[in-house]
Amino acid sequence: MTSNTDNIEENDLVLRLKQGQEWAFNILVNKYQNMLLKIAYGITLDREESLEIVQDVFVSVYKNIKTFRQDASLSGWLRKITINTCLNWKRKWKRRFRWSHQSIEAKDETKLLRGSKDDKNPETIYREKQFEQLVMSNIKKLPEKIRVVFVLNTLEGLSYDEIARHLNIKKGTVSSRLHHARKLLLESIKD
Amino acid sequence: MKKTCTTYDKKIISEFVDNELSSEENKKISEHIKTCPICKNISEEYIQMSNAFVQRTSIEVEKINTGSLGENVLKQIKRKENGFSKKVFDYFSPKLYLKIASLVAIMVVSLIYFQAQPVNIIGPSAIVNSVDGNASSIMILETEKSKHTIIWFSET
Repeated sequence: MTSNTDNIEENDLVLRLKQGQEWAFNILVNKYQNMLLKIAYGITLDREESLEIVQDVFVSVYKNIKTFRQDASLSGWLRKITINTCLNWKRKWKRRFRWSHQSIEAKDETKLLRGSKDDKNPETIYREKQFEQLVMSNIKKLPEKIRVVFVLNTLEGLSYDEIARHLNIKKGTVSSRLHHARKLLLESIKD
Repeated sequence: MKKTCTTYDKKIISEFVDNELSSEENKKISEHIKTCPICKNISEEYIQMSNAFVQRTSIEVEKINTGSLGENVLKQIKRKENGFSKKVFDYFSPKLYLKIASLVAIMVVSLIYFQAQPVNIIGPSAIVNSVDGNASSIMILETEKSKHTIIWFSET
């Protein structure tokens, strides 16, 4: 029932977007900005870049909404544009030697332990925070292809089939990349 | 203490964590994990890493100031649209229009000038002599500039 309503709302939104209604565009931005920012941040690990990417994504959506055939969901279409924009963005910055910088805070946190969920004293909270930062700094080192799959699986909760469809790769490749991502992360965290 | 499990590899544990196994396989691994500290530890580490990533990403995304995102996007779109229409306008602006008009005028004048010039056809200017017989015809011609003689013979 909810999904039908959502679908009708989405169809209506797309129709209004195609008609160039500005308020519909504002609804689109409010509805999807968080989802797209998470994907962009997951891939770029940079807040400013994520915001600029998402801004570019919405501009692109505005320009190309008439070509959206609605055989896929709007969120899926937006997700695809965001991934492509992120990857192009990354290539652009790579050329300018700015991408693979290391954060200063990440350097000395390689021997940290994780705290248990049951015991949330200040030390545990601190350790959890450090662990999060450690994971983030190592995610930065993951190869692009592997990171994108990890982002879609972890942040978006997409199934292997959905990721495979999004990235036009085989389901087995998705599984291998995820396994590889986890293996690399675990190895680098434990080093 | 041994570090690897001989029953299941880490890839299967990764798929288990993602709930990508069949219900039968899922059940088997769930049972296995109860008795295998290695696989239990790996699955927990995988989950913790994912949770940490989700958690940190959410925190970082919340810090992003999205207050004027929609407004900025619309501004950017309008700027681009204005840029495009300006380009179109500039294309037909009086200045450019004059440029195009003058170019067309030059082309027309050149065309008229060249059309007025006699066409220089390389070839004979005059038939010097010609003889028509029953079996053949002969024509003697002379070129205009070099004064070469051409004898043209044709069997009828």
